[in-house]
Amino acid sequence: MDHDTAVPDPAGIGAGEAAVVAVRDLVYDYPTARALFGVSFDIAPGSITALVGPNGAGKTTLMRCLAALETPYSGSVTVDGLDIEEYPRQVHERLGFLQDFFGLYDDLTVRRCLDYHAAARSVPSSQRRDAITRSAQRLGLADRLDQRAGTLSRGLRQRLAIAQAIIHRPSLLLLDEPASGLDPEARQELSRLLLTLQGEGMTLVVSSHILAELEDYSTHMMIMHQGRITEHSAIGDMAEAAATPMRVALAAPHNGLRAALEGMSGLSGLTVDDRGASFAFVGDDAARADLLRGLIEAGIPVAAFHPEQRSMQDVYLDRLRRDRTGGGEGGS
Amino acid sequence: MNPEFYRNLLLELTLHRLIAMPLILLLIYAAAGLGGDAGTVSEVAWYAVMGMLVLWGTRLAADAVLGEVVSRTWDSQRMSTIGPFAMGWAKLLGSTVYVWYGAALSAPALLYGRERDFDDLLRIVMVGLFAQTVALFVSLLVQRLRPERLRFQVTASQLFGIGAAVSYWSVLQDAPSGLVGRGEMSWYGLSFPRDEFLLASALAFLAWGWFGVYRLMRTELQFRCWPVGWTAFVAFCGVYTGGFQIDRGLARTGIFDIPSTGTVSQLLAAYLTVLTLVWLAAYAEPKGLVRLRRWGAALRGRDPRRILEATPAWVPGMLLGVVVGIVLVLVWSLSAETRDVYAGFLNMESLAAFAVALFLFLLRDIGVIHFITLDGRKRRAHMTALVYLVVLYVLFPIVLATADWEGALPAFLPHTQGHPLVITLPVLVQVAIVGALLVVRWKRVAGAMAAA
Repeated sequence: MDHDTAVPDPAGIGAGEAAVVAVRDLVYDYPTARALFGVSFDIAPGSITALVGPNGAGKTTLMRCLAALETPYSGSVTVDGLDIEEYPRQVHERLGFLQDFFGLYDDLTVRRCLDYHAAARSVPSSQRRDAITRSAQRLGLADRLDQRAGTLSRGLRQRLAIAQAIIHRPSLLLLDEPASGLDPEARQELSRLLLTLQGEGMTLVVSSHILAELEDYSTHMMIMHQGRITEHSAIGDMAEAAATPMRVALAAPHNGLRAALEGMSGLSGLTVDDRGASFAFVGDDAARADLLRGLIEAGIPVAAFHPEQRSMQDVYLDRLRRDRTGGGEGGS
Repeated sequence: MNPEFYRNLLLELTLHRLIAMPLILLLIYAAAGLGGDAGTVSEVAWYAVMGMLVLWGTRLAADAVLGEVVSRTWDSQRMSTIGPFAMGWAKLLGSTVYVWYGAALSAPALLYGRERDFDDLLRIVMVGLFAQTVALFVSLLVQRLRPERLRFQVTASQLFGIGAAVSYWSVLQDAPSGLVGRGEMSWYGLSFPRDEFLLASALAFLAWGWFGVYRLMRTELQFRCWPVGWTAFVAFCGVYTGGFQIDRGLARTGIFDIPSTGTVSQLLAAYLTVLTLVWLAAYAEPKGLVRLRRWGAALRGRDPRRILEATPAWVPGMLLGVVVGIVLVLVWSLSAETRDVYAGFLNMESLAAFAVALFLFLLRDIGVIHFITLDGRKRRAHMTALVYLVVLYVLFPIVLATADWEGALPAFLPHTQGHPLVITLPVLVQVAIVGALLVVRWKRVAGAMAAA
């Protein structure tokens, strides 16, 4: 077996704080290929982890293993300390899962659909009415409770599926492409909902290709590539650890700019133009201050010096390029 | 109430359907009554109930899970907290509740005119339940094989259910060859009232059918499963069939009174039953490199629980077959009188060679099935394996018989005559060839997977 074993990244889990999800050396094989190569990681309680990666990276397989729907070849997955192979039912009580491709009971009304899912998830009958109302309101379905699921638009079906997944108030919610089919306004509402659920103590893992949207609510990013976790950390940490793109803007063109910058450490990817220079810089605030001081002492007319804004997508694409060129850190 | 059963009630028993069923049935029975007499009504009701419970009911039962898979709702049910027993009965009775509604409405018509009685009604209910149970069981089996065209599998499962109904009906109606006297059954030399024995047998197989659904549902719902249930069923079938004589002619020859002779007959019946069920398990169980590797890893890890979880269901059944086979050969060999009697009766020169050949054929078939299904790429691998086995068991013997090469037949069919080596060696060579091919393919597939 070719496990890529590595020390799991605590991913922001505090001392004495138990991970909601703990995955160790997870290997999953399809008949024709290995999908997960000894994956290990922890998910901190109350976090929203964006699971990103190119198509075929193993995201959906990983999600299905976390949801105790697949039996891995080896390794372990625990949810709230419960092994998914030992206690699949108890794990299912604790989690909600919206799959990328899902079905609904088209002949049932929205209310009946929600009632069925509540009952099937052991929500006591005395609490079911409230659970239906709460979930429907959260997903903007309160005025459609008596409408048949089969008559709902694609976006409303997506909302109903999410409502079904959260009706039993799971401690862990897994969402595979939750915004698929939602219009911009509904996506914004979804972002707000996910933050609300997080605020109530729920832990979320969201897989999506729309990184700009993930950026709105994610606290962590987990990048998968070819069945391995190549990056998993808090989004702030990730940005800090990376070489920051910087921009020096000049009050007037200056021929000595390139020479001044090339003489400084921590720079890479330098491009100079008439109005200034762009480069990647690795260093803390003090190092940046030193760099600025050096430019001014060299007589460069600096008008502005600032980091260029980097989106989650920029970070993701950087990591992906690095992984593809063999500069990855290995599975964590 | 069981939420899955309640959901089925909501979907199946709509107001429109609740009204439509009695209206249609009333028209049918009214037409039968006006065109005939009370007996006609009863006869029409019998066919209507059979049609509803067996033809329609098996379709609904087969669709109970496969329909969810097609609609992409099965995973959400698998993630519910409904247990396997509750899910099993809710699927079985919930999906078919409408045909049971129709059958219940037809009961007065069936009993009308006293052509048929409550026993007939009970038989129909049992046949319907058994057929639907088998259809659901087979649908769960094929679902595990992840077939490409699930809708076709619904029809296949339904056909199995209908076939089971026919067999079950014959058990309830007719005595098998072990009938020794009017109204009595002989089982292990003991005499039982025929009707009670057949009813008990039917109930036992119905219970096994439900147990099978429960076990497969456990697997679907990700519960840990050991192959104990299947092995117990194989043992039960071996013991059950072993209670009957191979042929009623045996009783007439006077051999029946010789206990040791009966033992050989019974052991042979049990042996054939066990090997047949092992073959079926090997064919119907999910296979492939991943599962075999998982089993291998469990064996290397020496964790008994992991080993039991990963062991294919056919393996313990095969071990049981080996035990029964050894006992059969020993009993045969130790009794010269028995051997002589059976040699004449079964036209066998060596029952031992025949028993070994049967086992080798089983091994060869399991090898062929695994060879074809190993890499998991072929979506129709199981059907392909079946075609190859039909070629081996049917086409080759026909060609050989047509070409007057009967001497080569033991290579393709278990043979009872000839030198023990003639009976066993050709199939042993095939086992070796299939084994070698399997090893080569294993290395190739495992290598390709490692490189992927």
